[in-house]
This record gives sequence, structure tokens and C-alpha cells, in this order.
Amino acid sequence: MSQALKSIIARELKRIFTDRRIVITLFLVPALSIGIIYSVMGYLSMNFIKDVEAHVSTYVISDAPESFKVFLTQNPDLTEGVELTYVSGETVDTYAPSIKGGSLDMFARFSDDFDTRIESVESASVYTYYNYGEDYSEASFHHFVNDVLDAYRNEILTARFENPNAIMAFKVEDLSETAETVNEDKASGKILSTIIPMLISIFLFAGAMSVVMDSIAGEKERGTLATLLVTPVKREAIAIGKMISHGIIATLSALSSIAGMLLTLGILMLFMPNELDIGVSLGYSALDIVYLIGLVIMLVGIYVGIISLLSALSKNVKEAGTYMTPVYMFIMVVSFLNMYAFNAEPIWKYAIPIYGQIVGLKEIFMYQITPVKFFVAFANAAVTWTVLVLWIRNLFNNEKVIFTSS
Amino acid sequence: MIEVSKLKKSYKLSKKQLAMIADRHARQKVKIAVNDLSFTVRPGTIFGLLGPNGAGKTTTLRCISTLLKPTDGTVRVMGIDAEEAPEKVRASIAFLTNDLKLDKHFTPLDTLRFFADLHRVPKAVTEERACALFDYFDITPFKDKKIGELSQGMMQKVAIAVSLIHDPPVIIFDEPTNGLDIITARKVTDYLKMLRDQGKTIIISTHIMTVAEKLCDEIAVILNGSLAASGTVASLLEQTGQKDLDDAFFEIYQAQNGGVS
Repeated sequence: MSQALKSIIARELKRIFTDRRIVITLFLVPALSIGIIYSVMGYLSMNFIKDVEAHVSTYVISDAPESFKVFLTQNPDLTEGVELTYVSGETVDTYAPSIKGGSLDMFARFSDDFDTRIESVESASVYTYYNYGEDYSEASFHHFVNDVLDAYRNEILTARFENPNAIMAFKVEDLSETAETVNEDKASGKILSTIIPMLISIFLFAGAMSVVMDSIAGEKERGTLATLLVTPVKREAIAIGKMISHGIIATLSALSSIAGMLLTLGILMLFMPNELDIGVSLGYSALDIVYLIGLVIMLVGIYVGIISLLSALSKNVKEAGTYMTPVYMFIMVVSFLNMYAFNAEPIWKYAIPIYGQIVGLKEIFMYQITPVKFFVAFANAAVTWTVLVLWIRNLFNNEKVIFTSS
Repeated sequence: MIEVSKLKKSYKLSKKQLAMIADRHARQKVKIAVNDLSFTVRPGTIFGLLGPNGAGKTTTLRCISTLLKPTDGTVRVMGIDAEEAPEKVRASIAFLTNDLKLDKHFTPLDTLRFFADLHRVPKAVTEERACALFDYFDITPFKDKKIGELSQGMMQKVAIAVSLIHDPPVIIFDEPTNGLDIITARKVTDYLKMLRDQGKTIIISTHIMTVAEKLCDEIAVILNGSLAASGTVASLLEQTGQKDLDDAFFEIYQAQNGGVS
């Protein structure tokens, strides 16, 4: 590496790391804000689930047959946390306002002569009413239908047929877990591969954006870039030096965001160790880690190159900012594109800049990446990066670009 | 040595720039900033480009320093063609202009060391020169302060020191005393004289007659991008029959423009 390149990289890094304001916004704020926001969101949603579970449901059941009442007395666990009121001859009209208002969770009415009709094997009905806009009401309804009535129906069927298998014919039982047919790693990888590549991509771009815009468009605006250009250093060395240092900074900033997510996980596990089971087991090899680092470097190189190019074309940071918004949206769309595709991707997709690297990241988590695919992604990144560096070099040589006021 | 031969620099105006010209008939798509300009600056002399604002002085200096490419003509610095080997030219010049700024986040010492690195000056030599330059321009007490915290004059002095850190044979200063108080301005002009005495090739631009009169060994008067007159101060006074450079310049200006506008 040439002395000039080293000096430029060292200076760019020093510029960032000695500016307290930038260090805070680039490295601390992402970790803390993501940590705090996601922790609060996770805490609230868990509290919500716990709250619904802890809620005492109120049911009003009209014209309940004797057999049902007896069944519930024999199975007290089904009505645990439920306040049950039996009425007779009532319709929903009386209770609809209470359900709508939230003071009653559910109303059910058994059809007339329920027990008689069951005994004579005639059709009978249970009419249910609830407010699906209300969480407590909805949870009560599901419990009543799926747990209480289902068990009650089974009891009736058992009484009706000495052998319940006569009507059930057969059962389906999933024994995958006992037979070890599941690739735990891949199942976990599936969870990671939907979200992590997308987040890495977006965090990398966001991390690079502000630094690169300031270092190129900002330096142009402040007149410090021209001072650099009047030295004997080759334009490409200036472009590469800036891009390498910005790549390092963007990667660190993205790491800070990822640290924020891990912080969230840590906080939630600390507060709710029992509720939180992310079910992730990792079995990645050293080669997978090499692929991961390689693809992140490729992606960050392309992102920094694109932002550098747009910044070099802009008169000032403000103008660069206007160019950046649509590009950021584009990066987000590309990052989201393959979130839910789990089949192995064809090799030609690896030849598409940005998309190829994100697909590569995804397939690392899915244990589907191969050396050939990685090499294709690398080749596309190398070509893209070279084109961007040469383009930026030409821009740095272009007097109209450097002296925008001329 | 600087050799400028038939230098021409023209710009294509953008639609926006064209629209800003009030007189519709005067709107031309190409603006000629410098036209057919030739001069030579010899080692051991201070050459002054004298002219009003917009005459083409800065454009000429930018062409010499390789930041702009001439539309026509050639520029040679120390015998090197500026278009063919711009990096070599940049290695042998100090270029100071108002448009080129220093990063306010760094200290003068940091900045000086950084630019010395870019010019491949050995570390020991850098420290020695930094000391000498800082002492001469009274920067030493401020060398570890951020440039952003310095006064305008101090910033200008730091910029001069930075531009000279690699001890180049050619010095190109655009309005070097602009914005400086009388004492600092004197220090700068004295330093330039000292560099001239060391045999350096120096070219400056100015619109301040007293600076040109006291500092420059040779002067080229530029009006509307073209050379209007050139020679030593004495010869210009003789050509115009005036007693001081101020009046001589005015005489040349009137002759060129056919009266005072």
C-alpha cells in the first residue's frame, strides 16, 4: 500500500474517531436506539400477551343444558380464570352492549332442547357472540370454542360411540422431533436468513451514507477536497483511500446496530428468561464465517462506491442528500426482495451487484452457499468496485465537478 | 521556471448561467476566461499577475497548477508539460488560493504532517520544516489548536505554511495577502522575497497595486483574459509615462477599454 494511501486512510479514520459528535451519532446512537426501541417494543408485546393471559374472562351462557354444566363441574381446569354466568331464555340483545363496551367478553346460547336433540342424534347448535375488535373478547371466544366446546363435543362423542375411534377413523401424529428428522441448524438458519441479510444490508448503507456524503460532498463544499487534489497524489489513490476508510466506518456502524439488536435480546432475556426462547442454534463453520465477512466487505465496498459517486457529482451535502433518498429506498427494496425465498438461488443471481451479495448472505444462513457462488459474487463486486473507482477518479479529474462554482 | 504559451481557457455556460446575463444579445454559450496568454517566469523572480476581479488571474494560476485543463496552448512547469504529467507538476509547486481550504477539524501540526506525507517528505525533515515555518509565521503557540478555532489571518498563515512544507521550487500564490493585517501581510511578502533570493520561481496574482509594486520583479497586466502589458515596474511606468503603478495600470486599462466605464 502506498504511503499516500495509508496517510489518507489514517486521516479519514482520525477525522471520524476524534469527532465526539460523529462517534456518538455513528456508533453509539444506533446501538442504543435500536437496543432501547426494540427492548421497549418486545417488553410491551410480551406484557400484552401476559396481560391477555392474566385477564379473567367473563362469559354469559344462556340455556346451557344440564350435561354441559355437569361436564364443566367435572373439568374445573377448563373454566380456570373464567367468570361464568348461566342465564335462561335470554338472547344476545340484552348483552350486546356489554360485549361491545368491553365489560363482557362473550355470550353463548345453546339451542332449545339441546340435551334431548343430542340424545336423539339430531342437529344441535351453540350460538356464540363476541367482539373481534377486542383482544380479551377474542381470546375468550377462542378458548371457549377450541378448548371448552371441543372437549365437551368429544365427551358427547365418546358417550355416543363406545369406541370413539369409530368416528375418528385415524389420528395424525407428528413425531419429527423424536425421530431426529429435523435439521435444527437449517431450521434456525431459516429464521436468521429472513431477517439478518436484510438488516446487514440496510445498516451498512445507513452507516456509510452520512460519513461518505460529508467526506466527499462536504469536502467539496468546504473547499478541502481541492486542497487534496493539488498534491501529487493520484486521484485514484484519493478515491480508494476515502472508500476504504469509509468502508471500515460503515462496517463498524453496522456492527453497532447489530450490537443494539443483541443488546435487545440480552435485555429481554434478563427480564423475561422464561418467555423468551428464540430457538436458534448455530452450526456455522469457519468457512461460513469467511464467506460472511467476504460478502459484507463486498457489499460495503459497493455501497460506499455508489454513495461516493453521487457525492462527487453533488455540489454540496444537501444536494447529495436528495440523491441519496431514492437510492436508499432502492437498497431497501433489494434487501427485502429475497426475504421469503428459501430455495437455493441459481448462480446467475450472484452476478447481479448488491442482489448477489445479499443472496449470498442469505444462503450462508441457509447452509446453501457454495465456493462457486461466492466467487461469482466476489467477481461481480470486484468489477462493480473497479468501475466505481475509475468513475470517481474521472470525476476528481473533472474541473466542472471539482469547481462547481466555476 | 514556468512557461505559459498561448494559453486559452474557455467555459461552456449552462442554461442557468446564460439566463443570468441580463442583456439577451450579449448571451454567448462560451465564456473565454483566458485568451492567448503567454509569459515566462524565471527562477529567482517574483512574477505578478495584475488585473481587476474576473480578469482571468485565478484561472491562469489554476491552469498552471493543473487543476484546470487549458482549452488551448501549453503550460510547462520546471520543463514538465502540465497536461502530460500533472502529478509531477503538482509535486514541484506550492499552490495557495482562497478556494482551497484546510479541514478545520485538525490542528496545524496534524495538517502539516499530513500534507508532508502526501508529498513524501521524510519525517525528520517534516518536523524540522514545520518548526521553522511555524516559528516564522508565529503559528507555534497555536500549532495544537484546531484550525477552526483560529482567526482568519492565522488560518491563512497556516495555509501558506502547509503549501510550502515540501519546499517546492515553484510557488503559485493567488492573492496571498488577502485578508491579512498589515504586519502579517508584510511577513508573507518578506518570506516570498526570501524564497526568491533562494532561487525559487514565484508567481502571484493581486489586484493591490502596492503589493505588486513592492514585491514583483515582473508584472503582467491582464484585462479580460488577455495580456494588456508586461515588464518590470519601471518599464511599465516608462511605457505609460506615469509615476506610480496605480496610474500606470489605469492608463493601460483605459487604453484597452477605450475610456473609463
